[in-house]
Amino acid sequence: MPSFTLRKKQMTPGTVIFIICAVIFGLLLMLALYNTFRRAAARISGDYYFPYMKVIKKAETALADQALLSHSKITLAKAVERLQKENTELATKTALLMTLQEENMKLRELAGITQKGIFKPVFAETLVRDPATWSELFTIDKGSEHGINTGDLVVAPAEIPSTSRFTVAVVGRIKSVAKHTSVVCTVISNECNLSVSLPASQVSGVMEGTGLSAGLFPSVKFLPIKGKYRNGELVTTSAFSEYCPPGLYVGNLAAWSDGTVSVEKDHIFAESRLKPLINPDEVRFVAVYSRTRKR
Amino acid sequence: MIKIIYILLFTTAAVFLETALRTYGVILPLAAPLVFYCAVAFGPYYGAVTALLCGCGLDFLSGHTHPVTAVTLGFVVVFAMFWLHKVESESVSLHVVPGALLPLIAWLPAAFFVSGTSLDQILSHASDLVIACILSAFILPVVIVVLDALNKRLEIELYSNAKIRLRYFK
Repeated sequence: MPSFTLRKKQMTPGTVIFIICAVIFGLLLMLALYNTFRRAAARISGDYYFPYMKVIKKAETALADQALLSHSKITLAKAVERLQKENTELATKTALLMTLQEENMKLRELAGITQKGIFKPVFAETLVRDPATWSELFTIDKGSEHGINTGDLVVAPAEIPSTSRFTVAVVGRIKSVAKHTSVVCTVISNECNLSVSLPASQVSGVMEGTGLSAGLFPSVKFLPIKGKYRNGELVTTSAFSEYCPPGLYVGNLAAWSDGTVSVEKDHIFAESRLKPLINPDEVRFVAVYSRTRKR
Repeated sequence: MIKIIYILLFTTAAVFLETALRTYGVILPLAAPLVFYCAVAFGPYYGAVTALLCGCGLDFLSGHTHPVTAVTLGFVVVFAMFWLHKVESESVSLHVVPGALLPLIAWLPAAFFVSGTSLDQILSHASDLVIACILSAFILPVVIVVLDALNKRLEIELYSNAKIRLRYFK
């Protein structure tokens, strides 16, 4: 009995604090281990299942090629001619743009301005999609061995509405990278944030995905409160982020049902919503702008 | 050793097929019947390992941040143990009932979580879920018959002997 009374008296405040600290440390350790496990498991899963998922894509491509052969020779010859003409036009434009890019780099060097990052497009195809997150996430078949990094911009070709011109528009950003695969979070996903600018209003802001539960319109936040914004105003990537080439089409501002284009938030900034140019549901082929040179 | 390779092989196949079908918009839980089978035939620990491997494969391949499916497949292990201990019948055809419930246990909670707790998103897949339940109801008995036939040749535990083992070791 006396020894039992003695044991009860040994629970000093110091012991209690020690136990609490040990529990907190244990929880933090478990959290750190869980994060490490999660990252490792994500990379291993992506690389382990890549060959099997790629087989399906190859089978799909082979079937598509067979279906193509069912067209008549005249149809195929006309398609080849049209593509050759488009290729020649694009090659001519690219040659001009390369000249302008070199001139820009020389002028920046002369003026003592920091060089912009150089981006190299890596072409990829969607590999895996989940119906539960169809519009928000998808996996592509290129990874770190192709130069892709987390945060790189993902684009796809899109037609500009009410014109017959095609352009490259933003689909989303790279969320995580394995050796052979990468996960893309689209502009709809609440994990996608992008620095954007409105060329017509000459202002910049931040586009934040709102998730599918909030609708298909990401928010454009931190716009100047006194700006006058129009419905349908063009939104492009801004030059502030080193992860994204500037000037790429993201979408257009969309008014709410009552006609308002922007709302005041916290008396500090204005917020609007964006209608993305590309519907992420329909994307199959993408290009990832990977940085080959940092600022 | 055979059991471990067996589980790895069928986990890879189940995750690959289920992910491939999901990429084409078809929701058909194939990992859940495998987890159910392994839990009953080999025990809850093997079932839990199968659930962890399948769940991590399915979630991380689809780009989800957290392995929620591993948790929901853990519920399948619990359900399997309940079925083993509480249901007296040994008829394979009666497994239509747990088979039909597997998509509701394995896919629905995970989809609800990863879609940002969006009920609209889940309701948009309601028809897919009904079809998944109907198909899964037939897949589970087929999985049991096929894997038991294979297990007999490999001389490892059978699903159909699980209740007998339970009575014997009680």
